[in-house]
Amino acid sequence: MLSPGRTISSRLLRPASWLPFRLCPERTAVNSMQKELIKKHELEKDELRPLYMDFQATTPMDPRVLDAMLPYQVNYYGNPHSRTHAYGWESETAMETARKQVADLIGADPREIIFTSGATESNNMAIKGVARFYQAKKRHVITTQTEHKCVLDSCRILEAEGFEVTYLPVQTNGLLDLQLLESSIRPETSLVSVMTVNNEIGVKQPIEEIGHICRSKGVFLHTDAAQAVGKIPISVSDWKVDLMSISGHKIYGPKGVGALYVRRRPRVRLEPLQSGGGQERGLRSGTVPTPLAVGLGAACSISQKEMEYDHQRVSMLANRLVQKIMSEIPDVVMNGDPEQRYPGCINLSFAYVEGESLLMALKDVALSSGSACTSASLEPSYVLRAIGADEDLAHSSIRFGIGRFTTEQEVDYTAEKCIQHVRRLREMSPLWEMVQEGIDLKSIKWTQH
Amino acid sequence: MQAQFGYLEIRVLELKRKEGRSRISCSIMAASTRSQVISLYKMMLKESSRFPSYNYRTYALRRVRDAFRANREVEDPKAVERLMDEGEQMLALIQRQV
Repeated sequence: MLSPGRTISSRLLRPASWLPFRLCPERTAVNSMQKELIKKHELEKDELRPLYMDFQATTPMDPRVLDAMLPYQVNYYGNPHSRTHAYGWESETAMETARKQVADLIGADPREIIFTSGATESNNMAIKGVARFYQAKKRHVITTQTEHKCVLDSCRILEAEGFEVTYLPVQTNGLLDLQLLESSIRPETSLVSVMTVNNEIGVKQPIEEIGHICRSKGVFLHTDAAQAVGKIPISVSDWKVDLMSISGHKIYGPKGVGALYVRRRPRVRLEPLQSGGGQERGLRSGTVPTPLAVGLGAACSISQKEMEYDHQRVSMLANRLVQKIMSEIPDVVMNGDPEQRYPGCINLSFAYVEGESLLMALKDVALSSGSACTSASLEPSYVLRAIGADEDLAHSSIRFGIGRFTTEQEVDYTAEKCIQHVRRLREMSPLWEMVQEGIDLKSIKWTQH
Repeated sequence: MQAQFGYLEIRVLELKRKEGRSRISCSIMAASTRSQVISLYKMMLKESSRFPSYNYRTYALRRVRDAFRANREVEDPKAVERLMDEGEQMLALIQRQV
């Protein structure tokens, strides 16, 4: 029995506060104002952060990638390997679309792409998997001294298992000597692993020629293309590459996802590292993270469209930075070949200045000396040692990373601050004083106290 | 939760707006294409300037400007319509993000 006050007409005349938030206009007006205030308050906490100039360590996610991932984080959350319901089917469709996008970027077939948790896992899978599969007849692996830590560590594990590994030296410009590679390949070599673009000095190896050499000798070529994918044009068929590692968070995609390209014709066999339900052609079992895979696919397709524009812009900014710095201060060395490189990764050594102190002085710019995975240790980078840089120059090297989102103002600011601090640090340095007086530092006999 | 509802809200508004725009564009096609392009450009610049992050904001403004400049000479109406559709999708994307 309704009480006298609660008739139908009086219910309609009640204030709009009982309507749900979205349908009530006054509520939404107030709500959006409050939202703006809250947003502004939160964002004020984030202001005054350093400039980001370390695009080789990781990259911010492109807003278009985030937009592609969001529906799969909240709405279409099914497991792509569920065969029986729509949640699984739509997830699987998204995963296959992403696979096609990745494959299109490198000129491969979608069936040859395997999603992994990152380039480190891809490198491990490629090196350990191929070496172990063919270990009955072939027990030799070739790599270079400037590879990423995960490749070198995988090779060290293989050595402990009884394989023989040759670590080829590189020339002073960072490039591999092709004659040396050819003479190092033996009948029992199963794999050659050379990275496409080095993450510390930015040098681009001649993968096409290396591919031809390896194909003519019947050896598999694996390349860690984490820094190269989406930045320079890649074609696995032209380059005759058999295995390629791709990293999501280096191409403005999400962290925690990567891919491995495994050639099907001629077939490359791998021993899987991760056993389980046989997903991803049996080579990498485990549920494929649909939002991350979709993000990787979107990042790859965006990179394909924007490659030309980004490359022009990054080259322009890199030239600007290097010209500014080198014209203002003397005794600056760029590590790595000046021609065969990716322009966005610049490694400069400032003589008579300590690298760590320069990094600390440039505290409002996020830079690194060497790579992120080795930045915790005190030793200078092994890559710089491999290219034959002097001990003192290796200690004073800084890596500038330029990417899609860098602005001219950021580059100018970084250059100015760098010049200012290098001058200041040099003024404090007794070595610099001695050099100004004309003393040759190599001829000094340092005595013990 | 708030962000998720906001995302769905804007999708509803965007669908309504898109229907409205396509109805208008079907009736007065050629004469107002130029003004449509210009209004899309202005809306995209306005939305791009609302990005909170400095890097995203500058990138969006620069990219929108360069993309419209690069396609200035396009004459073929089908290509123009395709580019306009892409532009509207990008506009909706930016509105979802800011």
